[in-house]
Amino acid sequence: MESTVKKNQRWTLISAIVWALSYLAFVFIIKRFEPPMGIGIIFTGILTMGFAWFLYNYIRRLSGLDEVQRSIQLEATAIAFCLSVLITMVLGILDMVVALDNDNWNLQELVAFFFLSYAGGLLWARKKYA
Amino acid sequence: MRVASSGHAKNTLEMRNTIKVERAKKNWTQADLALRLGVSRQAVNAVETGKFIPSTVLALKMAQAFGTTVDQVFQLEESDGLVEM
Repeated sequence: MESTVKKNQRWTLISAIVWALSYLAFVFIIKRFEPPMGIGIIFTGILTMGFAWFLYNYIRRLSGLDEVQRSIQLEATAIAFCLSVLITMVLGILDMVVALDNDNWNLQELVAFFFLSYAGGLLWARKKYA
Repeated sequence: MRVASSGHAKNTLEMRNTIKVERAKKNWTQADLALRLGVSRQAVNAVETGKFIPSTVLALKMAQAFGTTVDQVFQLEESDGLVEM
C-alpha cells in the first residue's frame, strides 16, 4: 500500500512541477516575445492539458490516502478555496476603486496566491491532526 | 489533549479510546499498529489522541488487530448518551 501511495505522491509532485514550470515559461515567452495569437492559444491548450494531467494524478493520490490524510486534504482544499474567493473578491473590488497596477496584480500572478492558500491550508490541517 | 488517569485518551470529540493501553499490552508502537491496519502512523496518532473519529471500518479493524471488540476500544463520554424522547 505504502509503495502505491508514494508512487502516486511522486507523480503528483512531478506533474505539478512540470505544469508550474511550463506555466512560468509560457507566461515569460508571451510577455517577452509577444507571439501571434495562435501560438498563445496553443500555449493555453498545452497548459490546460498539463493541469488536467496534474489533476488526474492528484485525484489518484487522494484515492490512495487513508481517512485522516483525506480529511487533511479536504480541509486544505476548503481553506484554499475560501481564501482564493476572498483574494479574488478583494482585488476585484479594490480594482474598481483604486485601479491596481496591472503589472503587479494581474491574473497571471494571482495563480500563485491560490497555491499559497492551499499550502497554508495544508499546514494548518496537518498541525490540527499532528 | 487531556489524558485520564485510567490511561484512556479523552478527546475533544466526545469519545475516548483505549488504543494506547491496547498497544502497550501488545508492545506495539504506533507505526506497528499502522502497518497492521494499512494506514499511516499519523492516522493512528490522530485517532489515539482523539483528534480524529475513525470510520466504522477502521474501528473494526483496530478492534480486530487487538483481538477485542469495538466497544472495548472506543467509548462515548458519559455525558454524551442518547437524547431522551
